[in-house]
Amino acid sequence: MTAADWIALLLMAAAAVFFLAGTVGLLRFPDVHSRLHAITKTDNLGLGFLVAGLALQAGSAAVAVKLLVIWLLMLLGSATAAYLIANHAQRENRPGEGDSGDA
Amino acid sequence: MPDLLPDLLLAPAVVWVAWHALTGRDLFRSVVFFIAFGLLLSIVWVRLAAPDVALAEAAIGTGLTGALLLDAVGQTERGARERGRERRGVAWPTALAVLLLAAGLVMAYAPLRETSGGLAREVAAHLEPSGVSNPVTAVLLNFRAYDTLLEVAVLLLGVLGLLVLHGRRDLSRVPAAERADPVLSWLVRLVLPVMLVAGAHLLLVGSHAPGGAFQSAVVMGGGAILLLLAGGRSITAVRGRLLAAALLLGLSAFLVAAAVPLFTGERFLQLRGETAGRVILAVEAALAISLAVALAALFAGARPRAGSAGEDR
Amino acid sequence: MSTSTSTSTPELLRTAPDPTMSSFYAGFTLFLLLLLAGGAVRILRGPSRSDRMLAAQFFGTVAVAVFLVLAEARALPGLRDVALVVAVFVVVNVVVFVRQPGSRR
Repeated sequence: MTAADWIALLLMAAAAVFFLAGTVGLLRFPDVHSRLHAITKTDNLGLGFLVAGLALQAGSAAVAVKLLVIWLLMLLGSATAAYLIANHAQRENRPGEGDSGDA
Repeated sequence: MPDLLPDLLLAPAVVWVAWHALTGRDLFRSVVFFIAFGLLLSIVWVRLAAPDVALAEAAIGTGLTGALLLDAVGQTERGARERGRERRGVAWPTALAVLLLAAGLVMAYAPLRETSGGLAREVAAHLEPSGVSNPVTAVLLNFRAYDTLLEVAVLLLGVLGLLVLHGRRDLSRVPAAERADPVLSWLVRLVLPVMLVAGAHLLLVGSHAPGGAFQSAVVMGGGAILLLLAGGRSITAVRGRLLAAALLLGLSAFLVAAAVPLFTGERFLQLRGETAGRVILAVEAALAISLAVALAALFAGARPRAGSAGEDR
Repeated sequence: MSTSTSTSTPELLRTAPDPTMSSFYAGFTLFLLLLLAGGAVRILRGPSRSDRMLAAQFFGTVAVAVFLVLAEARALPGLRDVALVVAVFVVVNVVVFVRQPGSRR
């Protein structure tokens, strides 16, 4: 276990914290918007720390770059997704009550 | 034993998610569960050391089929969802019969596993002259290329059927999406090139790593779907001839590659030696383009025609 | 992907099959799978379509994490492509969800 390995491990442990936080938020927060808030933290910070840790473990720069690209894509995608879902939820809620509702 | 822990968690999770996808009255919920099921199944494939299948499952099962199903279920009106197909409870006799059949199959095949190693050895032996080093691609595009050829033809027939149902020979009557959303437009502008590059990457890497024409086509088709949904009128203006040309490109390239060996003294679709690798790549490239257009057409064609859903323009 | 164009990083950063790391990866994978179960619960409970959709997005993110970790732990670089594909398609699915024809806007 070199120093880099330990750093990578710490980074990934930090990622785990954010993943856990996202799940707890997803399950415990009261409505769509707060849940969106929770999961986007997982998407950017959680995945970010994970990618940072994995990049340190990567065997080549090419792999590290690829990991970075995946993270950036995920950042972009999840931010847009959160915006779209939030707008959608708000629009659906205005006329009456929310959309579907089956348990 | 600790090695099996993830599997012990995965297996019941897969069953549980599949159960919820199949039962329950809310179709939308079932569709989302289906998407989750696809992702879990992808992980299962990885645990079974089949990254190629995992890639296909993620792209096709989760991504493309998920998008198609979401689109379909989203078009059912809110009230109609209840009025519609009355989903009865679980059909217990059928479920029992299926379970017994599955158990019977497992018991019949289990003893075979020890005696035969499948065809892995034969494939590995003939990998060198096949032109590619990824055994999956070798099987798909060389050893069993005939099957792939017919699969592509079947897919095209499906798209053809859809276009016929759609009423026109092009997709010009597909309504452009509603008023453009600035954030979405920006996303598409940034992500579409990435998807095209990813598609090209998957295509090129398919000769020695998980990838290939189908996966590449699905990713690029997804990009086309994004373009369609983000208010891009360009896709909806694809005219009949261009659409037909794009759709037929793959199959024609495949047929040409298959027929050429006939003139050089070999059999139909026999690919061997030096040129095999290059031919496979060329055919895959054509297939990727065709299939991407086909998948986008499948998606676009499934939407209501302009004017029939109250959405003109 | 493994032997293609790479400028190899200095010795310090290269991976060695290391028992601590691999058990960490194993534990992490297990942890992520448990989180997936959490996400599935939200799909189950809803109550609205948006809730289920955002749970699906979360599912996708965790799946990406699983694939990335497994790519490293099992030395299967192809899995990074799987992660890429999943990342891309989660967004596509959300866009399909919000862009229903006939919906206002």
